[in-house]
Amino acid sequence: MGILVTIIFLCLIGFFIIEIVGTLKGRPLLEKIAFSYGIGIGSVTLQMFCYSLMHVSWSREVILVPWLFLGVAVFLKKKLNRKSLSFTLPKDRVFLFLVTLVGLVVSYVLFEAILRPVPAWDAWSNWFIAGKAFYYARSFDPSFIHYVNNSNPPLINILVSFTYLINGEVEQRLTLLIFSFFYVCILISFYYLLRDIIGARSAMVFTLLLATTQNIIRHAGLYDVGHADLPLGYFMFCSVIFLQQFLRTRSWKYLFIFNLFIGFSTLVKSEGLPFFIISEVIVLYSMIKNREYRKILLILVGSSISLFWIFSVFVYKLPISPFIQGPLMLSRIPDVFVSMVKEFFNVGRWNFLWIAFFLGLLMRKVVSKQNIIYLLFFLQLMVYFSVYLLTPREPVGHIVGSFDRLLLHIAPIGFYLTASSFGRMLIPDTGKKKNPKREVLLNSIVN
Amino acid sequence: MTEDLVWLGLSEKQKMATYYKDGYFLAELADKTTKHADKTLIISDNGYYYYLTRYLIYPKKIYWVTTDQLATINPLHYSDIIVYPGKNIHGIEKGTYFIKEQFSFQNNKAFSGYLFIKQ
Repeated sequence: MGILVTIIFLCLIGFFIIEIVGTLKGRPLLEKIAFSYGIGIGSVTLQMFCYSLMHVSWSREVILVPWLFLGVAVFLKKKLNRKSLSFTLPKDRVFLFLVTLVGLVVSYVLFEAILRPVPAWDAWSNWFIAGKAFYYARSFDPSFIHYVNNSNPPLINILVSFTYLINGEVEQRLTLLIFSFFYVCILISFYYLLRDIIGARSAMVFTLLLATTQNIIRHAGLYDVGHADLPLGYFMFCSVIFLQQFLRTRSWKYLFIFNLFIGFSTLVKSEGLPFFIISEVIVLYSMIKNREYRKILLILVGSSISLFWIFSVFVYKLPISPFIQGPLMLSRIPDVFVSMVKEFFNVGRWNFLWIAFFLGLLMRKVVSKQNIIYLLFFLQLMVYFSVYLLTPREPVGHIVGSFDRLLLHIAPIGFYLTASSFGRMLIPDTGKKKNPKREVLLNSIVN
Repeated sequence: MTEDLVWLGLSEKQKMATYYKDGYFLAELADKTTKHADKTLIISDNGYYYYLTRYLIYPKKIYWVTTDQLATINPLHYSDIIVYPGKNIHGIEKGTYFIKEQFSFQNNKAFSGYLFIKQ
């Protein structure tokens, strides 16, 4: 029950921020919840981290009361759109069948998540032990980071501490549901993003394919692997959604939310930082090209979140990533390339996602230079490629043991690009006229 | 799925014992042996025992070396030393500073090790 309350609190906090900004007006409630979760987590992390810097001890009251005021302000000043809060079930039987299948997969994942004790090595050595330590200290404790020699950013650790705080005890096994909810949010945001482009039924087919991808299920519910890779995938995917909306509408509201997501992604894992830099450079280029100089200030939102952590690393002399050391070893290129390509064809982990992704890429008539999302995807992939040229570990073994996790960060984006490529081929929704808005969106993405 | 259902009937402790196996018993032993401010050293060639014990008994502090690194440490800096899985490691006793005990979990010789407690 306590875990459910934690999730509700996090969603509410994010929801208040979304409502205050005024983004996603008229969008379905479920979609808002999917985005609210990440914004809530990121905001609470920042808040708790600031409290630690100011030597304010964490407690439920001290954390939740400011958000309560924000919530009251939202309800007093803004009239919530009741239409967006309502939920109507579609009558399309095929669609309902697909929804049922997705529901069954999600139920299975949630069931698996809470069955066993915290299983992953990563959890013991890092995510959960740090969450426990900060909970006992009621603060972000740099001495603990030195004790465990941990170089990871603080979001997941603080999220675990927040969950324990709300629960009032160290509840290790059920806390795993907090991570499974990222999976649920990815599925929801993925569906609504695609629904606007390829229609409800086709979007649900791809959502089902995403939900049943074995490596995603493994990270969402089995947890014999890491805990932070799926959350990072979620934050990166949400960043891409809002980046695309900004590039399409040029609205500062989308730019603001994009900056929140991309800033928070740097607090999840260090791999979020290159993605942040690449995305912000693209946004900056786009703003200069469109002479939107005032909007450049909004980049400060994302940058300050990111710099906040980097600054703390230097102040507390925290350890830095052991994988990025020494010069680029270019002689590794063939081995690294072949080992990475092999992972794309690992059907046991990814089903046919990456094969379909590359087929979709080949089928495109023109690979437009303006297709920002593909550019982002491949630049991030290049970053991972170069990490394996730098790492002090033997690269082939390192790739076998870790590349599937890195690919998970960009898997929802890859799925989205694949679905956009194949979207036109699927059976269109029956009995519906072509939606001109959707056609424009589809053209802007596919071409 | 049928295999999964077995987990439903187990208590929290039973789940941990079933899943972590000897790692859980080792953490229990370390927890019972050490006091809050103690510095316990685990000597093991398998990091699994160290990371799991460190996680389960936190805030008690645990340190780790492999048998290859034994020469780099001074055993007298630690209040307790656990050697697991059991290898008769010479040189830890340092005269009469430590009481040495052999232990095993669930009467299984495969799950045995040594515990050194500072006198």
